[in-house]
Amino acid sequence: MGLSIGLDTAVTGLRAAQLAIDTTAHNVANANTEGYSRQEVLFRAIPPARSRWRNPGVPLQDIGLGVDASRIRRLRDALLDVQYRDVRRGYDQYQAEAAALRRAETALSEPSDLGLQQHLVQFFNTFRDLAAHPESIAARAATIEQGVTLSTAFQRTYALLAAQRTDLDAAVDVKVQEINEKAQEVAALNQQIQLVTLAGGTPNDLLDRRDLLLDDLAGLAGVTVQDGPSGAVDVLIGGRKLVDGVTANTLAAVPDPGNNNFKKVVWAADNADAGITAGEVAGIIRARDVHVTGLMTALDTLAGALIAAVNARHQSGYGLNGATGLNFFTGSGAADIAVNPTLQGSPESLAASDAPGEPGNPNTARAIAAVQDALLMNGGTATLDDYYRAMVASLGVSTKQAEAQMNGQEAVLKHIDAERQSVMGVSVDEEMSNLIKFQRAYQAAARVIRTVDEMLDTLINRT
Amino acid sequence: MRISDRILFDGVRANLQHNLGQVARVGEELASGRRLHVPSDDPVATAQALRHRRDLALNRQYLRGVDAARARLSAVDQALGGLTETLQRARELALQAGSGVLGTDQMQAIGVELNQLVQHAIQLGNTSFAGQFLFAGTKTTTPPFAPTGDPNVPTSVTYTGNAVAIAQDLGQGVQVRVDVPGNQAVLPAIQALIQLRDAVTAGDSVAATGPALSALDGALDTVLQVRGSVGARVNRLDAIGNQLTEEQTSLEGLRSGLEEIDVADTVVRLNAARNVYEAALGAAARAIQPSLLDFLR
Repeated sequence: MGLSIGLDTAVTGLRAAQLAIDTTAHNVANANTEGYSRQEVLFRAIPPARSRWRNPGVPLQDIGLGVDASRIRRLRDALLDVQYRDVRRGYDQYQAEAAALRRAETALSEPSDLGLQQHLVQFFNTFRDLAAHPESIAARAATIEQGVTLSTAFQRTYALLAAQRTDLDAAVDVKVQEINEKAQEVAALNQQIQLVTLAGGTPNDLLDRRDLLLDDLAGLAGVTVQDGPSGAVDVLIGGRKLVDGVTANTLAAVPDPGNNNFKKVVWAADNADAGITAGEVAGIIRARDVHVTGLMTALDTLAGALIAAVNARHQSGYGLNGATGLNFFTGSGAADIAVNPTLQGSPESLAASDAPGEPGNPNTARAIAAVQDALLMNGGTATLDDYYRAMVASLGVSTKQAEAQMNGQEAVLKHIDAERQSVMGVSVDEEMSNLIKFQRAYQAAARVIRTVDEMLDTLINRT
Repeated sequence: MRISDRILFDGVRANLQHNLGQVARVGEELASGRRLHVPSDDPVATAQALRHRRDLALNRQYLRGVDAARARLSAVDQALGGLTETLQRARELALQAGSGVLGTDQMQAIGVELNQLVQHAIQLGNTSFAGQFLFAGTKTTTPPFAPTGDPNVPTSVTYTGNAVAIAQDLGQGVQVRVDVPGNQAVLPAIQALIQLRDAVTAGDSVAATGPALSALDGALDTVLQVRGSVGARVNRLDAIGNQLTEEQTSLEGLRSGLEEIDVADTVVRLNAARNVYEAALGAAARAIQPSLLDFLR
């Protein structure tokens, strides 16, 4: 057996140790990189060459030829990725819903003295004041003023909700763009990964980047992932391919005429509905179409009933100047409710009396104040106040539910992520001990080389 | 389970966030004094608190109404009291004039005083309170008693008000009448006074003690009767007011119980949250600090 073989064997160890130290350096450098999976060099012993067996004088047992360190793998559990994305879909959806609902709650500012209920109660109370002094211009002016305050409160609350709905609609657009960008990036990564894989390499860092994008896409659009050939993956929404190997399809947000021209998400290629049912986009659309729109409709119904009831009673009454048949409110809903400008210009036209020429008659004012206790809503089973209270309470329940769902999913998500990190996360302590281990290995391999060198020296120079 | 740095740091961060969030939440409760900030803090309590707020505002309004009605009725009572005195004085004068021993001069002097009483009675009938003529029915902006003839020596009065009742709502389905129609309570008194004055001025002592006196007695009875009914209404207002005040206190208690914090309890909870947070900080410092790096020299 030749001494130079020992030298070659030692050199493989030297190289392997160096590679392992390089990998350790890569791990330490990326200890805080999001989505990074720790990497390790796979060591494999090189089996002895066949020819050696026939050398005379050498025993038959094998002596290998050193270490093969040609493969570096990343440590990652694909099953945990699938579970993580499953939960991420729900978590991001409920998070978007809960955020929108919390904002809607602040728009109502209940329970407080600033909320709509307080204005509603004050409005009816000024009619009670008016009933005590129907001939007083001051009481009339105060009543009209309170009517203006109430109308403004309705309009402001409605406008806040409408603005929120517009914001949510704009967010759909932004999120669709984000999905498209990420899908394109996944397609580009697919191509690079295929190239490296076909060349026999392991594109660990590219795979990490793609996995991070897939996590985000699951959160955004609730996508599912399918393995394709040569390391590529397909990304699907509702069974249709968003990413198909190295090509990405495009989504678009287009106005839906069937839904107030709010944006719906379609495939850009053929305008077919994308059918996103999970993830942040689904949460945003649900908040927009169900929660905020529901609140706006309820406010509108409330304002409409108030306008109709107050106007009917006011029309049948008489002002100080004999004016009759006037509406108290103009408009038909929460968006446009306002006090009749005729009354604002002449408080004596406000109808407090139910008969002409009786300035001290409070009966119409009393009848309007009694609207507060009239069962006008829900098919004659609830007062205006009841209806509003139920609306506020059901908003509170929806918010609480969305938050509870979100918190539940968050707990599961944290647990799965911890499991993932347990496999893929970098531990600096571990890397440090590896560093020492591989440094020792390097030193030992170097020592072997020196020994073989000394042996050669003995053989060549001293014999 | 293998513990990577990420698990450790993420865990520490999440726990600190959670504990600090708890401190902030309880701290906010303590600072604002309120338990309910948004409906989702407690949807059921929010609905109840809203109901109590509405009831409280209504209750306060009805209490104001009670005060207004009481003020109005006591103004009515005062005017009727003045009228009672006027009628009683007129009755004394009628008895003097009817004694048949007075000379023409003395009869004339009594006639002058009676004329003043007539004018005073008309004035009382036209009492206005807070911009409302109290005895005009619902025609509260015009004086209800208009004298005819010489305004200093009116020969008769016409009632220009009406008999429409004015009611005030002091609760759901609770109404109190706050007016006294002048044609019922005041008009007979003025007419009786005019009749007596005319009899005395004419020197007719028989008429003064006869029909005029009995008309006067009839008017006095009516006024006393009406005053009795006004008194009964004021009593009723007092009862309603007491009940409203009582409800007010209990509603306020219910509302603050739902919306506001128990300060002692919240301080205890804040301290507990702070202790947990500090413990978490201590634990984090001990968990993150040591590393193999510290020991490799």
